[in-house]
Amino acid sequence: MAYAPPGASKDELRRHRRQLANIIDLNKCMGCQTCTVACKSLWTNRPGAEHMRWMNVTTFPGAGYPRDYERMGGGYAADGTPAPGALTDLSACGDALRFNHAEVFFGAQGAQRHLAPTSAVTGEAPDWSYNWDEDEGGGQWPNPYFFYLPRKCYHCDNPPCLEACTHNAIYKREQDGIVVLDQSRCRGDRLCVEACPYKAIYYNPVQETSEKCIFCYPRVEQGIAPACDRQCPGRTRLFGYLDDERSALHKLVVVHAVALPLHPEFGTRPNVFYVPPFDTARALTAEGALGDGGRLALEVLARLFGPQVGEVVEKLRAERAKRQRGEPSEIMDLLIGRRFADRFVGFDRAPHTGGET
Amino acid sequence: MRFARTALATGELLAPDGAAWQALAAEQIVMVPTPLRANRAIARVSPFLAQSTDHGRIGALELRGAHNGVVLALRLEWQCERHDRIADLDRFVDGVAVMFPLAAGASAVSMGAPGAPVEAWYWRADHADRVFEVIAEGYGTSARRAADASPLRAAAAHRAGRWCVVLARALEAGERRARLQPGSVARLAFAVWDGGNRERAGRKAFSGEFMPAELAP
Repeated sequence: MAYAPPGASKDELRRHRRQLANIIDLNKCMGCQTCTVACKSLWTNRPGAEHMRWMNVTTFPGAGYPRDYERMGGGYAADGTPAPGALTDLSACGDALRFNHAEVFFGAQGAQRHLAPTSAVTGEAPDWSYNWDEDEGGGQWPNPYFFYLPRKCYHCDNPPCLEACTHNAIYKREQDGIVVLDQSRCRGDRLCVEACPYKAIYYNPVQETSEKCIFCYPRVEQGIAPACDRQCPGRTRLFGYLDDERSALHKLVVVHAVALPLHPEFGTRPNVFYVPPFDTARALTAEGALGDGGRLALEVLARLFGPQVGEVVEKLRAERAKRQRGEPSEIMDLLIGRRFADRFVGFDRAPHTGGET
Repeated sequence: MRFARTALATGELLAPDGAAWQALAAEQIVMVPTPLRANRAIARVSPFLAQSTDHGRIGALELRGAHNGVVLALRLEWQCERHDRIADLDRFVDGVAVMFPLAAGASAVSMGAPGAPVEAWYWRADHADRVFEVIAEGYGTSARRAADASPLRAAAAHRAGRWCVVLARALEAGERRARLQPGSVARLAFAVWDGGNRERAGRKAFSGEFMPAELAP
């Protein structure tokens, strides 16, 4: 492992032989939050972790999660120098709402008392929480638009969290490139939280340490895909080694180049890639007639996935047209990914039995 | 700097507000922001920390020290309007630390060096009666010693916009700890964190190189 002693160089901490990665197909995500719940119940169902969603899905356009993460700085400037960032607070992380379950469900009060959340920050009714702006989206009538954007730690090649930590608590695992945070070294200074432009690290005020997505490495080590990927009912996820030529992930990212990182301008070289939404609802004219093209402007996608996204959208449309004509398309077949074995090459064992699926 | 011998019992020394402390002469310690910006040694440990500005807000510590033949107690007092608490994920707490060299020639500014360790007594406002024993051999190497074997004690009070913190240790604390012998000269340095100014880790004010302090015989 690239687990180096305190004081060792950051190059040593970043060293890794292979890299695990994800693809998330945004055309298929329906915002059901099954991935969020799979992660929450597996990893952050603990005191001090109530506000954390290592895996989260929000509506784009929207404030995202943690709220306004895109405007909080961190990552690297164009010349590679570290960009200072801000810290998230409990409200931005979705609060840790408390509900009056006892009042509603016990004592025969249910007809009068209704379920109502209380903010852990203010002690009053909340004015913000996770997915508070769900499905609001953007655009003007008659052409509103939105899509769901699932996010997690990107297990970057150049992780700013790793660079920021003065205790060398954060490192990339040499065998698979997973970015992990050693709880025994963490002092809760949160320089990593400031440095991460995706705000994918969360402070646990009970443990007094920071925490993050671990790419479900205890599952991965047994050939089982991460919980968020495995539980996705929409089959939006692919998982595997970037350099595994057998894997659909390798083919889509490296060979066909139809999956892109989110905010490449942050300079961290992330390892979760997105298939951009390439065919949202058709635009309508002011008179209500079907117009040309989709409602989602290419500039909106380019702001998320960089200028290459236009080329990718064109390619995906062309491949789908091939399929509609009855011609073969490897890209479309890979994106359908019918079976676990198709999507998670090398990591398709069943979580409960460890057997084949 | 001189730490007097006193007839006070250890319990009395551990009372930050105790009248006996006021009878002792105070030393003003000038505190300055740590040089983080564009510091290459810091950038190697954390290039993000090396961009830090506006830290080191506390400009002075008032130090009183005394030993009763059994325990050395240091009382540190400073202006700090608010008692900062970790009320939210973006909050930090006040803290103070005293550092000693564990090897001849160890530098306070670099927090020691490989083979030349330093030791620090690190107090934080959210663990008011506990002191962390920290060992370091250069930036980014600080490690806490196990709390159960710690010979350190602390007591703190925040009143009228000022912190008073007493840190104490038995004069005899065994090997691999700072030597504190009556009649000898100890060497000390200080650091202080203003939690309300997001000060933690290297974002702090410090007193520069080690300074000598004589323990009265």
